Amino acid sequence: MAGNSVGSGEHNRLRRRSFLTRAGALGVAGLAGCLSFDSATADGPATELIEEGFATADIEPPFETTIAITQGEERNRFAQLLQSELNGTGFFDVEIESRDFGSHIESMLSAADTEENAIFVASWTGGWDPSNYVTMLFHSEYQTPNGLNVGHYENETVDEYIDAGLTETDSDDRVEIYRNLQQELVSDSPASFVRFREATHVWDGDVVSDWQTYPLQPGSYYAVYAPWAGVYTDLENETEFVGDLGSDVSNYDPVKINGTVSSQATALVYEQLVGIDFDGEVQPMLATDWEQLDATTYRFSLREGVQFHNGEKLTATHVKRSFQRYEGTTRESDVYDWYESSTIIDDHTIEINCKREYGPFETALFNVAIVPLAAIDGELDLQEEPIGTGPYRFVEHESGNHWRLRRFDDHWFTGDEAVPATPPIETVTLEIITEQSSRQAALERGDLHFSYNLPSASLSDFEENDDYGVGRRVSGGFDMILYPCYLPPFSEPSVRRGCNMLVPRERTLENVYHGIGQLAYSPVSPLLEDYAGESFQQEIANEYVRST
Amino acid sequence: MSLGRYVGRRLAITVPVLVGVSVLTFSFVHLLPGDAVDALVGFRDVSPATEAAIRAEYHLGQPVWNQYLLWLRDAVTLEFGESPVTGRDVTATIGSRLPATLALGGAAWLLALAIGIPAGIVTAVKAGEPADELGRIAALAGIATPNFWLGLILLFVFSVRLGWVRVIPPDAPLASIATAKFLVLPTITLGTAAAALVMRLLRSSIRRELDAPYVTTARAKGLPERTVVLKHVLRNALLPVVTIAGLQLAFLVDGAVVVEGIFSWPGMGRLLVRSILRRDYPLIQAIVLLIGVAIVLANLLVDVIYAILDPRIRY
Repeated sequence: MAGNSVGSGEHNRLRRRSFLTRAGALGVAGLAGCLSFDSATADGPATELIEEGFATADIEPPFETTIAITQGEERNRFAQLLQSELNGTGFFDVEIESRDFGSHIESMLSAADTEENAIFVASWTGGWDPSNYVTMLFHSEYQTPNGLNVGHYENETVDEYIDAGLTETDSDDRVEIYRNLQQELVSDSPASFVRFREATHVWDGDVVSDWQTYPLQPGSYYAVYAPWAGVYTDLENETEFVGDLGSDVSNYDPVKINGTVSSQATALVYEQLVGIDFDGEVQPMLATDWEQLDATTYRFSLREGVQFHNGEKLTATHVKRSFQRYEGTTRESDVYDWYESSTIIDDHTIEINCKREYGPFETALFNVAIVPLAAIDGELDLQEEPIGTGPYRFVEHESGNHWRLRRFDDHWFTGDEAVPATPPIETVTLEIITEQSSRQAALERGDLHFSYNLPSASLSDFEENDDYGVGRRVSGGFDMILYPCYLPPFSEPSVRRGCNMLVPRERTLENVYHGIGQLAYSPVSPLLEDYAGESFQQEIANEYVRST
Repeated sequence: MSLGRYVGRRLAITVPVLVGVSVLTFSFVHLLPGDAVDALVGFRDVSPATEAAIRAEYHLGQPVWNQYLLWLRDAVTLEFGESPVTGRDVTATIGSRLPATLALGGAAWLLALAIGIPAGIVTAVKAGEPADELGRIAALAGIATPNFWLGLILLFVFSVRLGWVRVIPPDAPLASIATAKFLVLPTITLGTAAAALVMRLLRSSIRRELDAPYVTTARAKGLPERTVVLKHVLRNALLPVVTIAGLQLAFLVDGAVVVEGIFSWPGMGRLLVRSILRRDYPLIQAIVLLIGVAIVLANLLVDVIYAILDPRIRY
């Protein structure tokens, strides 16, 4: 085995513990169903890189370290696969430590300061813009605790690419920038990307005849009625749609919302200037038209005849003050990262000024909900009752029980060939069910018409069952391994590169996640086809991960 | 001393006990890394000024003992403040979940007694016979079965396969037939272990009493066995059961987290767990205080009933 050829004769003694660990690790790898020999050949170049790095950093193998994970069976199994790969090289002696979610986050935020010796397994969800996937994770300005650059990675080239991507507005140039950035990130490997997650939707075929799967979780329920995206759903013999939420809704106010579930619940209540539809295209929503006047100024024409649920009519003042409202709140960076000011031209025209040229401008607009003046002035508390311009209005929220919306009859949409003027579904009830098995049971019994993110093991059963429809789309989420770049030997890029080649991606996808998801080699999700489509992922894989 | 004075004294001691409980809870939760603002902010890029402002609003920057005193000052007037995570009134939040918790906890408690007491009597009287053996095996099964497993099995058999009951609570008020029907399965899940415990305890208690001289006297007097057991023995044998029942009431109220999760029952158990994970201090303090009050009062009730059941016990 490779381990024996490393180091001077004195250190050649196989330590009993690492021998047993390796034997056990091989056992695990064997049991995982694949003592596959392609991992043995990948061993070669990967181990060489690691060896090189250890020599440069002057570290004696095996290096003891920990894989830090959150609790959960899937995480545990992935960690075991990774552990067996790393220990198998003889350079590492790895243990696994699982913690509750809060403590895991805490330790990631303080890892660099305490020089914690651990590799962190984490998940991240990006959105519709490539900058979402890289900025907080890899820019040196966002080193913890100011961001999620856990390993305190610092690379000038990466910083430059990220900054350029944020200020470039030409889409072709942006694609070029982000592809170069991804190449640089994979070759330097501050993190290893393992799997891109999928949004999985399951619906009762007897009630719901057709359903479109929105790839990002906050927008799961857009399919109910999203005229701006050309999508709506009709039910068979029913006017009430019963879906679910994986946890309780905590905040209703856009400037306070901090969880995916709260965004999901209020998606049909609030609207924004523009929307990103099911194919990733920007569509007019509350703005009908816009043009770029100069590098940092955009002029928007607002839709006429838009009513809020409390009767107010939409004007440019609503837009301006809805933006300003973010100041001093936990969500202020959604706006003030790029927004400078806005100028009201007339009741239905507004100019927005950015601090500088901003690439993700349209995606950023999709994040800013437009709310009524009564809420901005404090007469209404959005935390008590969310009020927007969306096609559904809030009815009630029974804590821990359900969230209910009812069709808003004065919604602005007047109908076209694709979508009717009135949403066919009258009531949307989202049952709050935290236990995954219970959600599945409720769907099977018919207590629910729809559920999302069911356990991957059960998905194939639903796919084979004609009574149910299943929708799967690659979403913006990915699982990754973050290396502690502040600590030798992980401070050496060659060590990280080597580890990156060893990550058992295929086995994890097949055995742990039952094939749900896609292999990930670079950070940007293939959801953004221009920036990181499948062929690009393959290119990266061939060059940096697979040994040829 | 008289019962009245005894109760008065016990109630007076309650206050220092509750203060002690709240101090311990506060300290332990603050030992956990991270605070509510961290949970709110996550990894977002929030300006230090904003974070500082939010911290100040909820007194999170101050030394721990100072925060505790501020909380105590408000708690004394039953003002439990606002949750920094949701911005909602703590009392209202707990109030919305409390009826559901009491309903499930109370039902499970009544089930435990309704099954445990008769079963305990039967197995004690028929000791050594097949009925007793059956009872013992049933009790063992009841105590050994993890309640999440039992809950899931009941759910899949009766809800999914047979379709007799819903998987999730019906859209009906708490005091309705539909909800009562739904509560059958979670009540069985929660109450089984408690019922088994009551049964075993009562059985051994009755067996012990049946050896007492007064029982021989009663039988010699010609009283039917039924009267001997139910009228004379039971009253004495119930004492240990009263203790257990009283404590169980408190524990059942504090929230059967797992059972609530499986049946999506909106009780306080899950609320407490979520609050801890999000470091929602005011909510944690209020719930723990409520549990403390429940346990103290349950203990007091147990001791009072003791005194009523057994006139020899006087304080």
